Amino acid sequence: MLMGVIEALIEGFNRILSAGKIILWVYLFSFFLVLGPTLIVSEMIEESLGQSLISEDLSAGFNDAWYREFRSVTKGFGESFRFSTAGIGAILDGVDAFLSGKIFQETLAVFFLGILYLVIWVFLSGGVLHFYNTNDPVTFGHFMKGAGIYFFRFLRLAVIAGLFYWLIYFHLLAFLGDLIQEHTREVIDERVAFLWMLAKYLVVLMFLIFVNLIVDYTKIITVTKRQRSVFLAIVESFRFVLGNVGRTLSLYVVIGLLGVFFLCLYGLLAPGGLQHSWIGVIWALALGQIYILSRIWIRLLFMASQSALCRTISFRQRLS
Amino acid sequence: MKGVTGLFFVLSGLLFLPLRGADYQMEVVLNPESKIISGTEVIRWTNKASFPANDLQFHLYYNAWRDRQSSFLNSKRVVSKDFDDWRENEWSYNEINSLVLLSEEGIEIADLTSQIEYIQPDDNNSYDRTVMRVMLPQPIEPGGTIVISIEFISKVPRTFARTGFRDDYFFIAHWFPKLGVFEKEGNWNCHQFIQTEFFSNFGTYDVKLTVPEDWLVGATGIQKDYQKNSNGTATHHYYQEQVHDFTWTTSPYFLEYKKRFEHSFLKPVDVRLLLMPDHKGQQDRYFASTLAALKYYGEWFGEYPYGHLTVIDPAYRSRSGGMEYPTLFTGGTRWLNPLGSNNPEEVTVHEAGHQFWYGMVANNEFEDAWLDEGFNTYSTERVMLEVFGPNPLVKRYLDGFIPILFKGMYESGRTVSGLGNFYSNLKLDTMSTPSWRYGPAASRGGKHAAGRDRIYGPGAYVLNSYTKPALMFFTLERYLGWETFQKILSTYFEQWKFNHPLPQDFFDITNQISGEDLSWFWEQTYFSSNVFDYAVDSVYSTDDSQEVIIRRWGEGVFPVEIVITFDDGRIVEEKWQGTERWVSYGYQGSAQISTVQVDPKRVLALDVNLTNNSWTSDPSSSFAARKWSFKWLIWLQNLMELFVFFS
Repeated sequence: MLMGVIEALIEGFNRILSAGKIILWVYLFSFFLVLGPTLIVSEMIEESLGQSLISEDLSAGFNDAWYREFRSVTKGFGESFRFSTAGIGAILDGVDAFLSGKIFQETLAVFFLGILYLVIWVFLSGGVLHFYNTNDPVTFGHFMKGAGIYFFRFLRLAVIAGLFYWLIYFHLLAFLGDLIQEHTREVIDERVAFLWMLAKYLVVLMFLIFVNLIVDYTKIITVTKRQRSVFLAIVESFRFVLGNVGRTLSLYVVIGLLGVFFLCLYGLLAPGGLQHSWIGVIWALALGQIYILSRIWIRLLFMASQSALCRTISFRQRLS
Repeated sequence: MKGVTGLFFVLSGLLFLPLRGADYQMEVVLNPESKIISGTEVIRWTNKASFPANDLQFHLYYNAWRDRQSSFLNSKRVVSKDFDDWRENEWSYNEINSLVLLSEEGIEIADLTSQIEYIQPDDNNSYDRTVMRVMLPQPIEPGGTIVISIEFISKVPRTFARTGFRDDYFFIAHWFPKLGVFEKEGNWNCHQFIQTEFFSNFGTYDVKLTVPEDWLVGATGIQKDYQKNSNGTATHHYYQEQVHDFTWTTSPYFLEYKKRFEHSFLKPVDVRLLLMPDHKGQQDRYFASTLAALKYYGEWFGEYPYGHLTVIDPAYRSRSGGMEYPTLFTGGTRWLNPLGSNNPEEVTVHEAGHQFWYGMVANNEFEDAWLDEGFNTYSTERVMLEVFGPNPLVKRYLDGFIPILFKGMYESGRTVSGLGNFYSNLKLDTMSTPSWRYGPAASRGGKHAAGRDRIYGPGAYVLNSYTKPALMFFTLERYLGWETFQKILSTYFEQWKFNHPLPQDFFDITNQISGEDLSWFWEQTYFSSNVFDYAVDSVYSTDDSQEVIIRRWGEGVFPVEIVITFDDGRIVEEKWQGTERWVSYGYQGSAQISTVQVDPKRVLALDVNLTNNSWTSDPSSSFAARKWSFKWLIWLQNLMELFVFFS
């Protein structure tokens, strides 16, 4: 089993290397999507500062009084600007929001941007999987063609998956919260409450991973078997995952841990809010972009390695 | 038997208790299973007013959680859905089994139990039973003394507002039938329980507490005696003079630590800490903050006289943290607490500081909460800056369990008034409104006079009791100078300790010590909700002349200094009384203006917008905006990657 996982990983690495342009295209899509809102937020901050000397405080570090003033009057994307965007907070904010479901309570502007990005990725993922599962040359034209072929099937899949994610966040999480509340009513030792909290999020994560696994292999099956019916692809994905739960889960966990490793590494290196020169600012930005690239790389590694695993297992099943 | 017990108490009281407003002698037993405290209290009360008292009025605070119909649970500040999951034995009550009038010798004069009635002096809510009245067979003349014996039961609530139980942690505050204050005008000051602020007479408390044998007890006062009983319980005897309340706590979980405060000229204090096991390792932080409070409050205002202080580390989620009681207070911390953060330091300094503002200078918290909270918030900020430095920003993740400290980034605290919600919340009530009548925060999405369409924030109570008075004091300190202001505060402390001051008493002392009539300041800050906001409006430059326009955007008027620097190094200081809506300063010459600052020393801590207080010809706004928006970019990119997970 382990060999199968390692083989899939190695093949995934190689696949990504051989189609290196894909990382660049995905990254550029991601970057340009957020660039507009970033410029908007930059404008808001600059306008708020005007010609005030407070700008020197913010240049050298941070000014909480200005921050509170800004937060009390800003709207749109500006509402999501928080002091915790500095350093590791930028990542932890996201992790916290993801696990707790607060990601869906983000400001309206950010939420709609997230939905837009999700839909764009649904489109792009078709192109990515097309390359990882065919021998087509890696050109932008082929990429977009592949993306277009599978877009509506993947969109339907996203909607179905969305229903399950909704159940997890808005029902399971609430149910677990109530259950824990009931069981920890009299707990006055915070360490005990902490363990319950960890257990809650582990359970939520398990369900999220399971749905995610099914979705991942559904996409791969849709591409590799040119399956037109999303429902049939889901059924086949179920069978595949449950029939190979050890390997599919191991691969997922290994790559997931790699992602956690990158997160921790960034956490150690991420500069906070104290840059006071363009070099420092550019360095902080560059480090952040390297981290985002690593996130994208992890995402592509999932797709490439899972594709490889799917191919290997299907091939062996056909042989047997 | 009860009569004999009562007589014994009275006689021993006659021998040992000094004469104060109200002296309490109690003997109570806690049953941890039923959550009931049962016992007897003997109150010796002296009418210090110039009018006779025809009745007695008592607080029965535990009736605030008797049911959902109490005024407390119906008040706009309480979210009554917090009680949706409360079980039957988690509600509370005070029940009076008997109320008997005794002679000085302890002989029963009259059984007044049947005279008990419940009154609602604040809101006419007939269901509220937090104030009890008993008509007296004969009035108590001025200077007269009455002795009352009360047998009562206090059913301890599940902790919600400072007092109650969670598991085997009991924090018992405001738990016994307690006399209100008979004021010199001849009326009772005995408000219903609508908020967690209190007012009562100084007196002596002589209390015997019986609890399970292996449970530690912390209480107001000093332990005079300890006795193991044959039934698996132990009786702790506590005693304290010159205090206005008695609070206690007990639990088998406490870890006990002790430290002694010593100073070259202040009285030594034995500090006792009762710590919860999950906070083990933080005892030094508690002690450092408590000792810092004793040192600086003592040096600045006056000596802490009691010689002992008990610090309680409240149990997790017990809702009993961050509160002050005579010679005892609760701090509050978390299991994971980064070093360098100012928690539990800040809450500990604050609550220790309340021994001075509240404990000794005992204002009526119902009506003038700012007289202790505002004073103490200001004092706490001073100690924090002196000893611990500014508060770093901390954010807690994963349901609040995991803290991350953002190095180099600090809270502006209540010392800096750049609080946008000042605009909205300042307009909710003036400080002179009695505290118990402050309204809630304005509803989200409501509009207020200035047209802002997002209203949020702490509401009138927190702002007018804590934040605004603290900023007023920083303003006065910088305006008058620390030496003068410190003398004002220490004079006020010395004159009003062990007494009940009113705001005018403090205003009089500020005028007296400063030598200035500061009524113009109090008119604008205490008696009105004027906002202070001075700003650099514009700077005009030509080749041979420059002009600066300063505006007063707020309604508040305060003299301000304006400092203008030129690119040839010249610095000009102007002083403006700040009364007009704007003022213009013109300068001849070719040197261009580099910077303009209104109130650069931040004398006017009440200025609500600090960003518009300065101007520079070479702003780094663009750089600052790019720097922080790039960080936001990374945050957004990371969030987008998480959205992708759901595809």
